[in-house]
Amino acid sequence: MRKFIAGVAVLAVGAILAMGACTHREPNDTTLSANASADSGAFLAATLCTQGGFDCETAPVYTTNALARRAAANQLRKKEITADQAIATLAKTDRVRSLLDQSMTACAQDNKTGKCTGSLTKAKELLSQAQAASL
Amino acid sequence: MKITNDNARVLISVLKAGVVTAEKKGESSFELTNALQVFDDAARQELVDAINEATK
Repeated sequence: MRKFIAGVAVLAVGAILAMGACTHREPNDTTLSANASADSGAFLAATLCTQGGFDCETAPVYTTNALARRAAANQLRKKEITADQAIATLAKTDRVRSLLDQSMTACAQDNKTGKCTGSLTKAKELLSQAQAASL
Repeated sequence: MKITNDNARVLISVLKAGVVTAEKKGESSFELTNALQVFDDAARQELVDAINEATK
């Protein structure tokens, strides 16, 4: 009988600990609200960029693009958009990403100064296209 | 200065992406653009997974 009671007690403590583990939630970097993309990219660039390199100009667009993808994934899981709409978002964001990468390649940024050693004009042109495509 | 939770989460996610990728390569620093590309790659994969799940 004592063994039985001890066993029940161990199970009860285990269950309480398990419940505690399940209910305790750390801040989660995957739960962003729907308007997270509105100014997060600008905030990121303003926080991290002090030298004004070209990457500071592309940073908000990269961020907005990634957040648009995550928002579409969340909306699709909640059935707020269709799979076709999500596929369209994937294609659009892939296009923006491609333009951004091409823009960075065109700039060929100097690691020390942060300035473009390549064609800044070409880089800015590609960045403009990326910005227009992300609207 | 007030910082919204969402903005902080985005910043943390991008920095984490940069640190993890740099450490995998044995490097002690990373370029902002590289961190953003990793962040975007992860978001793309999340979207692809959601599409695959929805079209099963």
